[in-house]
Amino acid sequence: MGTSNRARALLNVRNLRVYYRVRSSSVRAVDGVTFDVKPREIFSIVGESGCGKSTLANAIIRLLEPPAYIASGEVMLKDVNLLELDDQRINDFRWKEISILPQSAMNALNPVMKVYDQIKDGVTAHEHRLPDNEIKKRVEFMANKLMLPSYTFKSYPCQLSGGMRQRSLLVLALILDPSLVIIDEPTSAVDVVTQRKILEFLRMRRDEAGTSIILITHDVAVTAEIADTMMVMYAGKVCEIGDVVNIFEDPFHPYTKALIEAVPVLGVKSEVKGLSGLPPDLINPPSGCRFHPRCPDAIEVCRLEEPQLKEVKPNHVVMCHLYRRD
Amino acid sequence: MENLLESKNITKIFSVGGLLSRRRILAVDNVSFSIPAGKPTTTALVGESGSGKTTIGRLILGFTKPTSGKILWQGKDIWKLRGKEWRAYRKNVQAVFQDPYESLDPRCKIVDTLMEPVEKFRLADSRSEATKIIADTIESIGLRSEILEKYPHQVSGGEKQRIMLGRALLIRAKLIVADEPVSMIDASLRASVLNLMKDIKSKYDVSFIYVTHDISTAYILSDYIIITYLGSIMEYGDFDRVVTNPRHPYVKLLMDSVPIPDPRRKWKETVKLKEREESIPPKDLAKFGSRCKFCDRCAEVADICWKKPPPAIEIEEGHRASCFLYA
Repeated sequence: MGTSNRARALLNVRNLRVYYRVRSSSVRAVDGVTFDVKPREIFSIVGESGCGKSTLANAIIRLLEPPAYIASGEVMLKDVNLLELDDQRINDFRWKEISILPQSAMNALNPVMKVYDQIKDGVTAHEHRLPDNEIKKRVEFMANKLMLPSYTFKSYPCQLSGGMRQRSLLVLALILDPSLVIIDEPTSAVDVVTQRKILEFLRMRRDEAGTSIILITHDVAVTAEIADTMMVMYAGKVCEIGDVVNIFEDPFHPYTKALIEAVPVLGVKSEVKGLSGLPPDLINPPSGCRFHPRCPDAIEVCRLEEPQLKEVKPNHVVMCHLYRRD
Repeated sequence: MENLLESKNITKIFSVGGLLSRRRILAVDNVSFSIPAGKPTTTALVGESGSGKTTIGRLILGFTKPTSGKILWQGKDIWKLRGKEWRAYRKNVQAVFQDPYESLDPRCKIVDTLMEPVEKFRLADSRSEATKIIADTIESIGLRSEILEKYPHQVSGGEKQRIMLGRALLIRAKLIVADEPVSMIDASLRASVLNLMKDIKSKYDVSFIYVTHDISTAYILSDYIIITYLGSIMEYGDFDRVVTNPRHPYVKLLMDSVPIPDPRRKWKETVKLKEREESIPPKDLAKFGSRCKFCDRCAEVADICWKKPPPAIEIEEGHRASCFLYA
């Protein structure tokens, strides 16, 4: 992750820490995360529940609510530090430059307003000069690609299935053509065919409009299907970042290996493998590497010292003592 | 061969709404399948949300009565069982549910949760015998005996599901209906539950009905698969045969859309599946009772599909698809 990468990147996140205040201590949900997203890249953040991936997403787009707060760090989008913008400026950025499809997308629509009116509302709040027929044109174009029938937009949210509501919101997230869109678990509540439609649409959007996408998921099979780059998180820390093909073929971090091995493959009768132990308590995280109590390859130093991100190959970084280049 | 359990044309209709807006919802429509006796098997009941898979599970468990049709346990209609026989059925068929956080009483230690069925079904003659069979069960599900003295909030989701499986094992169940047992458990902890289900099946001769939306985990566990869509069975048969040779247009699409955890094998062409044509409640009896459930979205639809429901057609031995294409 040298300066050359940084220059080419669309989004630079540097040493971001997001904590939750609880009584007299804090939960370190995101703890020193650094990564870059390039233009036209599908960047997938993978991890299990509680690893901090959704907190990270909400921090990037500045939608955190108390008790969460940003303890330190920098989020640069096209040379603007999003963390330093006042509320008015960040509002101007949202939807036009950076948008999000939240995890609870199915319940994010206003129940007493027709879907099209909500989209129009969102658009005119940011681009009041955009003519009505242009909005219609864009909605129709995306609806077509997402295979949403025309009645979708004339309906109230309760008349639509969860998958349709989610895709309507995706239309809203992309209608102003942001350079980066964050998609948080878009497929956790839909069947596999709808899941495929959403993922294929995102890929097409990247190919045709050049949109960068941060895809947050717990499902490494989804990552394999669509992402270019993946970042594995565990307990608020980065484990590994690299090209998807490289990581799947040659994962370095023991946790990455475990995640990949835990996924059964249709058509291959294999034994599923897993990890023992519990995800850590983030108020009192384990000493040293946070993964060491569950790590099958842990060595003495893992308990004592926190590992640092090391470049093991070009564009492939790992945070693990096993790969120290001394 | 005699069947352990047989579902014969079961239909479940729910009435919803008020006096004036009453609608009849066809949750399960004429579903027939069987679980063979003699050897333990796992049958996956797969479908998207609203496909009726959970209702079928609840019908088998005897939680709700079918509107028509029968569920036969070793040849006998379960709704005609009385007294001792009914109690035996409730003992033989056990459930493991999706949410392990809700299936255990938060105020009871694990040992008390396990003691309850031992007392209810009189599985032991004395307190010491009860303690011993509980300890044996805990060992056979691969947990340490210290866990017995813990409360549910002190154990992980995966461990909770293993305890629920242990409970079914303790009761000497012959059939376990597991409804999405791993969907709330993280991938790294899932393996312990899935492997335990495999173990219980082979070591203790217990059959499973595995209700899930996840075809990949179903595949590694199951011998047979039933695919449901809006309350009807679309395809049913030997899992390997259905995966390698899916015949129903819906099932083909489904199998083809399961993401593969290999970045070198990506979907080739974009999926083509229409949305339902009208924004009406999808399972309204009046609209959907007399046609193929999938006809409004099917790429290979013919006139007949709109006129009557397709029969289950045998494609090869032990593999049936409900589609007019093969009639």
